[in-house]
Amino acid sequence: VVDPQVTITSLTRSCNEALILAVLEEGARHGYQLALDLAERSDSFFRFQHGTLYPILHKLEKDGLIAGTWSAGGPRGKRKSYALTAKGRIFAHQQRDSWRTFLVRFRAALGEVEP
Amino acid sequence: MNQFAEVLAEINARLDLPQPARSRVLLEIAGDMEDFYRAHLERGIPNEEAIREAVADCDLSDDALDSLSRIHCGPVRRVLDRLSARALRVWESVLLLVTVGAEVQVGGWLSRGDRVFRDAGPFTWPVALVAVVALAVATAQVYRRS
Repeated sequence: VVDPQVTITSLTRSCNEALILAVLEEGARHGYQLALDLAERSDSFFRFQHGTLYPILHKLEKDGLIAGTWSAGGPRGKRKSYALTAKGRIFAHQQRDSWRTFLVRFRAALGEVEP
Repeated sequence: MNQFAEVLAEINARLDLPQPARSRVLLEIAGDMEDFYRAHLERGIPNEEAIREAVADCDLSDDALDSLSRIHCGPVRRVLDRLSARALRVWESVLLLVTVGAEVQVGGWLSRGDRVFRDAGPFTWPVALVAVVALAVATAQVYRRS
């Protein structure tokens, strides 16, 4: 069961998912492109060791939030690209809302802003 | 992709996945390694170093491999993974005994008279064959695990 809610216990997983889904909202990506775009969008703050991306991508694919497609074999061999599904798009929006709420409450708890 | 054959073989040995999931994962990793390698070459990095960096970029930790195995394994495997090795051995022995016991009992019943085989319907032989194959597979699995 996939849950878009951000909780203390699901922070790492939820953060990784949100970052990947945000990149895929702009269009399908190969694994390599995905890693590059994540680093570029965050000014290299979020740099995934590429090996750690596979379990996250495969879990998202199994949950039906993204769909992997194999490109036809070209001179550089077969490549798998990932695209957001309709279910994934809805999930991404819900998760983004949940992250906003989480961050507002977190900053309030730090005494930075009013809730 | 020959330059990655050795490291892919090593990942293959560590990857506890059934086919075809195993081949697909390896193919995906190989493709990404190739992309990283070419990107390093385009940045002017020498060939040997580009290979090393591409392998490091796509390195799969033991945790990542375990996660992949959990994601791709079937429901039966997920249940079995929750059992301790000792509990698993006990259940395997019990199941094997029950299966063998049932086979012996059915075999004894069949050997007491020849009516079943003499008046065999069209499904008797296929069903008997499936039972024998299932017993052989179960026995082989138990031996492979022990």
